[in-house]
Amino acid sequence: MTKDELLSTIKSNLFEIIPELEDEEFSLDEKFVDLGMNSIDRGELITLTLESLESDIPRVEFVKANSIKDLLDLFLAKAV
Amino acid sequence: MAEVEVSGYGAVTPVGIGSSNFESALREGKSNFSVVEFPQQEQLRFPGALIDSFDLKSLLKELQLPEEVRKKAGRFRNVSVGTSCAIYCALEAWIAAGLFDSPIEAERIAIVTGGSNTQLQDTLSLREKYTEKLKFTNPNYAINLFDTDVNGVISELLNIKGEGFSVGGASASSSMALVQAHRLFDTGLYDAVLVVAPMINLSAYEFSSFTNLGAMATLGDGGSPGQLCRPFDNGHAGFVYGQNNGCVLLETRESAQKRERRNLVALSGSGTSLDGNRNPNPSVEGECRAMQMAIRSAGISAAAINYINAHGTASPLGDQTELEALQQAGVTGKPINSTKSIIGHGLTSAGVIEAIATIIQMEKQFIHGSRNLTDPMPSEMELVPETITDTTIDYALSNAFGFGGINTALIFKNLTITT
Repeated sequence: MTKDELLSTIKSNLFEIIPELEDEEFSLDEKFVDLGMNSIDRGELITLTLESLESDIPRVEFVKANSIKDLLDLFLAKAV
Repeated sequence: MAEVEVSGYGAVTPVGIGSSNFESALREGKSNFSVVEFPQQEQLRFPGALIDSFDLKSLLKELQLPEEVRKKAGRFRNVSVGTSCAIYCALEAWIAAGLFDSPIEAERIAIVTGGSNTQLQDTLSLREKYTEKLKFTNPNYAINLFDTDVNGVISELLNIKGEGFSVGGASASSSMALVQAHRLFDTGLYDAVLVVAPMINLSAYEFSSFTNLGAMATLGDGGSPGQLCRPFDNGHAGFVYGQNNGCVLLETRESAQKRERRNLVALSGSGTSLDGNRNPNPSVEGECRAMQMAIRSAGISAAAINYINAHGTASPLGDQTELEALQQAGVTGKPINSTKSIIGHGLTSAGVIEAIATIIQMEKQFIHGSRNLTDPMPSEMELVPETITDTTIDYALSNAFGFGGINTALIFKNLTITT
């Protein structure tokens, strides 16, 4: 999967969790908490993305992810 | 025990969303029975009374709500169908009780949910989705699998901080919730208790099992679903499932007066008993005992009751047992109907939705007709086939009985009568 495809997957999962974000402008660096996500939403985003990728990457690898950019970078690093 | 007033209620049923539509359907005897199909499961077909469509977000636009409540109510995610409907019912009850304008202190309100194991289809759908990918199971399932998720949602939405729990009692669950809510007032800790009954969402497995038990009426060869639920009729042959949701707000007289409410009905008595029997067969003695306990707790005589909202499931043995129990309890020769003949059997939610039907009939002075009563069972009771209008109910008895020998009875009092 390319970086763009991955980003697109993460965003579509994000919009499933917080539909209002689809109509808003936000940067990939913005912290999840500032986007209105709590820890459960964050956990769901990780689970949904792992599911979309059918990935075996252990969840614990994503503990430090605080933004979409973090998530993107971690996925790209792990999914080799 | 204290007499507590009914300050508000809300309903989502197969025959109407909102208590005003529910009332019209009761008056007209308008039902909504259909054939429920599960094509993926061996072409199974069952009768049922389903809610045609329920779009919470668009329904919220029609309610008179503070804007932040409207927004918040529409934003709860990963909630079951029953919880969504319960949100609407709770809001309707809250508005009717004037609680957005004159609130009660959060810690003096409790919330009691009637029903356990209510999210059967919701759980089945989730399991089917994740069968091949268990490790990705939605984390929200860990939150919403509990029957008290509805308590969590509603208490957050309406700021309820007294106490909250769910009550189980099989088909008497939500009536038992009203019994326990009634008892909660004795603690002196609460001015109001919100009793919520989300629908039980049956899957094909439950439809099939109830049918195999012989408890659920069957479509047979070309039977019309609307004709199958026949409480107290000699053609009765089992219950028909109905998706019903309801919510009742009970309040102390003191609190209602302080908030200048003019309530018309009070819950003035409640009773419950156990048969000491695991099997689903009902007991005349057990049912009678529950009714007598309710009558005693209301401080009245059996003769004072002039309307009965029966459990009336259309089970041949159940209908027979209930009529005998009423006789034994001294409640005889009075008008009796079964709301299930219009809305089906809500199982866990039947108690509350039928309490609401009772309250509506008392407030609006009518007794709805019991459908499909074309060949009534012989009885000393006045079985009511057609709606009676302009009639005053002083005291009503509402019954609910559940598998496992659980019996409950409630007495509602008309506050406008002069004693």
